[in-house]
Amino acid sequence: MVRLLRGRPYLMAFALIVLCVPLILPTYYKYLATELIIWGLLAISLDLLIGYTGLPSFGHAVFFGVPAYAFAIVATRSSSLALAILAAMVAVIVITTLVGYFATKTGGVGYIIVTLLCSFAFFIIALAWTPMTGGENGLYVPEKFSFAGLPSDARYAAVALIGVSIWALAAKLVGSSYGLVLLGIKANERRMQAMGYNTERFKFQITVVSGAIAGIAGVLYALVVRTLSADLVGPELSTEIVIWVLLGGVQTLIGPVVGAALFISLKQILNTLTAYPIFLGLLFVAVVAWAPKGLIKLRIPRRIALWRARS
Amino acid sequence: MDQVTVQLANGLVVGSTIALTALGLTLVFGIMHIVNLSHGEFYMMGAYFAWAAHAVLKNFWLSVVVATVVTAIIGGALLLAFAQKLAGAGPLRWALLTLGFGYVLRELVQLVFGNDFKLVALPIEGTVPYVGGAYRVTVMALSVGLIISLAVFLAKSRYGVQIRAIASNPEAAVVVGVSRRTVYICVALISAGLAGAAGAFMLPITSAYPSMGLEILIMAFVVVVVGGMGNIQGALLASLVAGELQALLILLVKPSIATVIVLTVFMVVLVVRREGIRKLW
Amino acid sequence: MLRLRGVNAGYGAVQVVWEADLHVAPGEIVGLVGRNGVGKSTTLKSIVGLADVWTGEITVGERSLRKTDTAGIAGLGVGYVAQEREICPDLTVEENLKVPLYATRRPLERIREIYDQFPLLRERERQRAGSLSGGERKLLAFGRIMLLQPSVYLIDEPTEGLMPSAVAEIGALIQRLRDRGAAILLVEQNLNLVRELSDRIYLMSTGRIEKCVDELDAAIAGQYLGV
Repeated sequence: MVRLLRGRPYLMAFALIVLCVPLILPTYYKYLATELIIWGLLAISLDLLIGYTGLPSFGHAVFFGVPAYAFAIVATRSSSLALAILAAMVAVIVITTLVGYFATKTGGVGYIIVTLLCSFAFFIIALAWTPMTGGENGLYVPEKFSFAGLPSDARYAAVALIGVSIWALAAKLVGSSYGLVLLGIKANERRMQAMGYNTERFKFQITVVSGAIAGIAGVLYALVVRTLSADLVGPELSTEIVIWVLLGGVQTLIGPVVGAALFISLKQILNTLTAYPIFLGLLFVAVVAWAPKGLIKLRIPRRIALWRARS
Repeated sequence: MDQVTVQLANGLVVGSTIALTALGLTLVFGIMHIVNLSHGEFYMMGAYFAWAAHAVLKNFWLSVVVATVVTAIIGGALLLAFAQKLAGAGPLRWALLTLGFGYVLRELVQLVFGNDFKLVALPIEGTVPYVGGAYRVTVMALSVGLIISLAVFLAKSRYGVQIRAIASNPEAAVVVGVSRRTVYICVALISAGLAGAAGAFMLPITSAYPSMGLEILIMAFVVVVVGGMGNIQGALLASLVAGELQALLILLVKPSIATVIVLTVFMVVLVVRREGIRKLW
Repeated sequence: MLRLRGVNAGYGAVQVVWEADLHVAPGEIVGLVGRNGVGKSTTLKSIVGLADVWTGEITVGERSLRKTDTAGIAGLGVGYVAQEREICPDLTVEENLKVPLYATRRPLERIREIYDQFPLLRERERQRAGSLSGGERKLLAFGRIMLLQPSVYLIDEPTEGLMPSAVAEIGALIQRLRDRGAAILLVEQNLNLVRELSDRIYLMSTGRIEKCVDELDAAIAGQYLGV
């Protein structure tokens, strides 16, 4: 991980901030930071699909919420933590296979629609299958299976450690030749096929990886927040994750985390203003129209330098 | 048996509403290459504007006309405003942009009208034997009428033929003098107008509420994708099937489960079609 | 009179045509020949706005074409018959012919004139244009453009892939158009046809129009066309 950060001062600073600062902040902010890491992981998992492989998943909440539900369902019924985690893993495999298969077969616009559809379908199932999912009331994870017992410092540290490790692994992945193949698939899949790459296999693999990361984020969510509701699998969250990734910057891994943090924090801050979601929506529209690669790619420092040089 | 015929008729009503919405979606994709994720919000606007107009004008059918026109203008303007900026951008960028539109429109509507359900009394009371509510039958007839008018317009009218020319081969059309801009304006207005009309028609049946757009969007998109993006007959057929399937399934299971089943069936068809049909020839 | 002066054109960031100069007077058939890929099609496309023009003048008479979009240029009387994808395949033959009339607000009766010249098209009136044979498609393409009553015709390889009798028919058609006073710029690979029809021939090599000759002798043909 150190090798990754060397030569990238902004990232190094960011990683340090992420790891250390929240520990000195009051409990409320520690809690917020813990949640932000979870959402950041989710954003990273989507960036792997959208930003690096060119798979516009508009139903990503499914990879997050379904493992979370699987974990919680088993947790409420058995006494084995291991079993609950196993359930989550099985969920990840089943979901990524299912969605991965359906979606990749429909390509391009179809992928967008099918993933959105899946999210919607799971949303309905979560609401309707009351005996399993608690329906509209949702599920509550019992205390012994959560991080609730831990002091907030330890809780944050655990989540942060997991989060940053996964981020480092993801960064290594996209920086490697595997990452180059993904980028190649995004740029021109036919050409990659002509060069002999089995693009279907790569797309499937990265879907599983992305789903796994999202699933981990989901289980963390279950452990930390402990209340699950159908919103966690639905199209509203799915499309919001897309907004985070776009806002922050596709294909950067860090960008989506920033985007998620920004969007969520703005939501909290602007909460008091009556029409705040409209501002957020307009901000998003503006970014898509004028800064389609995301805010982080606007390279503000460089632009300021250029502007100074010109005048 | 009564129940079945009523549901069959209901299926036509649902199907024709989906069709009206889906047509606008497929037109705008086929001709302007826009994936419009805010199309459901055009439908929603139609319902809300109809309610607002009704509060002032007291005449339901007039309100429907007003709502259709206003939605056509607002929705069309939104799409056209960014059409230049996003020219040549792929479907993903449009999907994201219209995602934002939808979000903002939903919030705006909640701001202006509040979160509650806006209701309007059925303009036509009574039932038709074996078929169901008289108003629903009227809506279906009107929807079919609109669809037929659209078909005739596209087939015969001066602008319709030009629209189809651009859809078929933009370069060949432009080279003989067809104004792409005029065609885009027509298509955007028609697309938004159809969705608005559908929403207005549905106002007395479902009432107006902020998330009504999302619900119809999913179905409309499924239908468009299965029917073939840009393929009008495909969208119509798929809408009919979707409507009937949903209506008949409701006799057996909960409405939400019926929706999931319909969605799953369509998704399977989608996958099979892409793979299986290719293998067949 | 069609005139190009110092035209630099291409697609996006890629330049294909450098400093193109040419002119075509009414009643003239002027050929534009060269190997594959030298930029002949792009030159034609840049005149009607289907390629990006960075610098240069493109005028018909006094009027600059650079300020107008493709549809407007068609309305001004510049007809471009493309090499491929020249018609709208999903529309019928009749509808294809209606399009220019609808677009430029001319009376539909004009279609009769086209049918009189091309009885074959009248036979296939209701047939989907995409199912026409190559030769029929070319006739339809010409028919559509002729309905604009252009003063300038830009014709891109009209006889490619056609059998000899069809080639002759197209050749005769082009001569008729010339006789009616149009200025015709013809891109062609069929050298016999070019020799037969053209009053003058521009020779193009890697993006530049290098020469204008009255006769295409063997030496020049060898140099510019590799034959």
